[in-house]
Amino acid sequence: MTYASVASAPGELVVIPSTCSECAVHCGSLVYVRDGVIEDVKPNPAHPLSKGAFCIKGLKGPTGLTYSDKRLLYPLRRVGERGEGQWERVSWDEALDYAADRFAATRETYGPLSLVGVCNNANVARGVAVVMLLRSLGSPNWMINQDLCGGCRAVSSRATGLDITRGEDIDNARSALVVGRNSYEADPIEWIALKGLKKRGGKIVAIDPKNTPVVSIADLWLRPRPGTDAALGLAMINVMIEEGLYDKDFVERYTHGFDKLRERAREFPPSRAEQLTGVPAADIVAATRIYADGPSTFVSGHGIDAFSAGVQTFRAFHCLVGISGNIDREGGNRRVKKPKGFLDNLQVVHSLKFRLPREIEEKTIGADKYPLWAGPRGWQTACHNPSVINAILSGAPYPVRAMYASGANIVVTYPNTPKTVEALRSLDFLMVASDTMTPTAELADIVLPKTTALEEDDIRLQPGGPLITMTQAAIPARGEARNDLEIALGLFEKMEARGAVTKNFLPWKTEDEFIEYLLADSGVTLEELRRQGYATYPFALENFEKFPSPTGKVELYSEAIASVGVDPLPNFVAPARDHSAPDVKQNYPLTLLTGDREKTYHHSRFRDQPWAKKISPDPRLLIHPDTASAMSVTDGQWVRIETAGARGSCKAKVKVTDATPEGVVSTGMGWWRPGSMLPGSGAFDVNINAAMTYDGPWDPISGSVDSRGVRCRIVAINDIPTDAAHL
Amino acid sequence: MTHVVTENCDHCRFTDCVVTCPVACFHGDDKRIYIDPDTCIDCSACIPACPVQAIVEEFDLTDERREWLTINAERSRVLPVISSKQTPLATADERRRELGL
Repeated sequence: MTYASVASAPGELVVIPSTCSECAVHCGSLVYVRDGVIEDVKPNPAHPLSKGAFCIKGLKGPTGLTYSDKRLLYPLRRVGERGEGQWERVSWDEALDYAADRFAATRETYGPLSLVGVCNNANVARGVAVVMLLRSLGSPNWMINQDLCGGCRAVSSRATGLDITRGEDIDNARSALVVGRNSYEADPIEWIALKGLKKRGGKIVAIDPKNTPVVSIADLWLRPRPGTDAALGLAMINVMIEEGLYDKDFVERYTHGFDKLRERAREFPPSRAEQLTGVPAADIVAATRIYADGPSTFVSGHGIDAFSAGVQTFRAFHCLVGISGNIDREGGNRRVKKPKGFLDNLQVVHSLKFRLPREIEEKTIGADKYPLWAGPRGWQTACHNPSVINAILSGAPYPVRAMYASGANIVVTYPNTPKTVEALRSLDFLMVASDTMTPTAELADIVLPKTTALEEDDIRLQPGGPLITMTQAAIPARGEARNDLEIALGLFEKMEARGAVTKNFLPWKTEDEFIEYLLADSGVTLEELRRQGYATYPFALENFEKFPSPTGKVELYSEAIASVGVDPLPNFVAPARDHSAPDVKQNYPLTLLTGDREKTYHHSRFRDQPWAKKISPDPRLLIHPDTASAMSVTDGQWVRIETAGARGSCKAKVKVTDATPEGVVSTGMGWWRPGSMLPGSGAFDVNINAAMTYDGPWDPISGSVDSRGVRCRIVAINDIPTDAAHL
Repeated sequence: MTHVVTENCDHCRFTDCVVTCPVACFHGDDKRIYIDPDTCIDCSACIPACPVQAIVEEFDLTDERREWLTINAERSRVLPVISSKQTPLATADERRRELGL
């Protein structure tokens, strides 16, 4: 395998320009290596996009994970009962033979569709390897966590044909509209850009129920009732149109459905939005005027994603961006710029060369109900996760009996932990690849050791640059760890020997070959990426032709959404909790927000890292002083969080603060206690997903469940729970 | 928005923080150290490094501690950068005990 410090002399310090991939921001990094050992990881101040921006998990995380004493270094086979924690070390050959016997048997008995893969997403090479393995075995079924993450915004952007991401050109904007985004914790590049905007006199409008660092530097803060942001977006459209602030030329030439949108927006004058959201009408007008005084960049985040009205909420803001004309202009939201000939990971997934027959892909679990999410027309083509969990447990619409999960800790990250665990326990076979033992890996029959970001190569397109950036394998893999492509190829070979493959969708023998495939004849070379860690390329703004939608225009009226029988215009959908039965309202008087970002953590990762635990030792529950007093809880007290209809609950430590509104409590996600004796290593105990349901209501387009904005109650725990006492 | 060194650094000056800083934003005099808010990138790497929990994110500052924003900004402007670990003050261990850390 290739790694960047391979040619160095003994004792020589090598500095490798790379890209941090501990979260999706991808800041430019410098990796310091001597004698095949990482000495340090630092920001790369010469990086054209991140310009030295970085955070603690980028500095400490890669080395911490790579050299963790809990690192998995060899394949393991379960010897006791499932989940008992009894393992034997086996060779790769034994592990893959054992796995292939079972995958092949399941495939023979129940058919290829009974196999399912799990990864984070297919925007990264790791995910593509899992997808191509499953497709090679004949199954279109693979799960991603994006319905709980960036899925609603991606589906909305795609349905609108906008072709934008977020915050691509804050450096040249006069104002920024930041919706549901705590850039301070979530995105160092964006945060530094917003501070720069502020410093040069630009304006920031923040929309967030919570007081965040972004709010603290904002010129105007709109604080909606959780889950009502779509009404704000529609009222801003209303103001923009009624005051004539929209870009008439752009709207006329490059958008589709403006008259219908105007009609819809008329239903949302600021006065009505005030009633729905609690935001003063005058502030809605003022926010619209700031945004209209462009160029303005729209910055959006997780706060308005991952809930059952997520797509419509994003549609409202994407339509606002659309009529403002702040598209592909300096200081606006830039369309994704690719070098000609370059393929990104998701394009490979969609490429006709790598597809199963359409009639098979249409059987992707969830494709019948959410065709713009799952199956051949879907954003990534992946499954609707809760339907897969149900299929595992019920056998309907067909049996799903064997799973390969790579780099995804779904026991912690999927809602309804008890149900996920029940489903995994009921499988005929479970193989998990991971760099550390997780609550998900604990339930596996075979656990495979995976490379960390310091030991594998990956490239991606970063729209904000725009850049192609590379994360480089800086050192040889520790122990017997392998990267995802190697694992996929290894299992493919074993399955092929058993006559259990459908077609070879894994034509790449090494990561280099895969990267070369993506770079193709783009003019960007692997050599350049290895030398700099990134590559720039020429691009032009003001491309208003051929927006990626059925009409080739920015679709304010979405033909794609119309085609699946859902409201093609953005609309306000009242939070599901507003319709709860009276007894539920009475018993669960609070609104729960989840997903608070912390720089120290990324999803369920880094929970065993000493530097992270020092900053953030316990799950927190933010609560307003008046609510705390009404609930008789005090700062530092432990409570149990319970939501209506959930099977489990979650413990957290109260932080009394007016950062969250009265009646609304707010917490993070991804907590577990690595190495503890708790069942599931704390996944049932301190993990908010133990207190949530995955059973709907679901967004009619993306299938996202309400992962926030749900009713809850809190119960004080008078004794400090033993799991917290270890700290 | 920045990070600031608060009163817990007085009589300590452990300087473990300066080694973790990726952008060399720490400045110091004989008594204690300060963060240059214009250089700080809010990465938070220094927070767990400090043995006496002296470093606080601006967003988490209590009202009575907000004066440290000005003190850090003004002092860092006139003092030299410190980027390598130095011997703590003789009173450091005693102070740490006093703080209960």
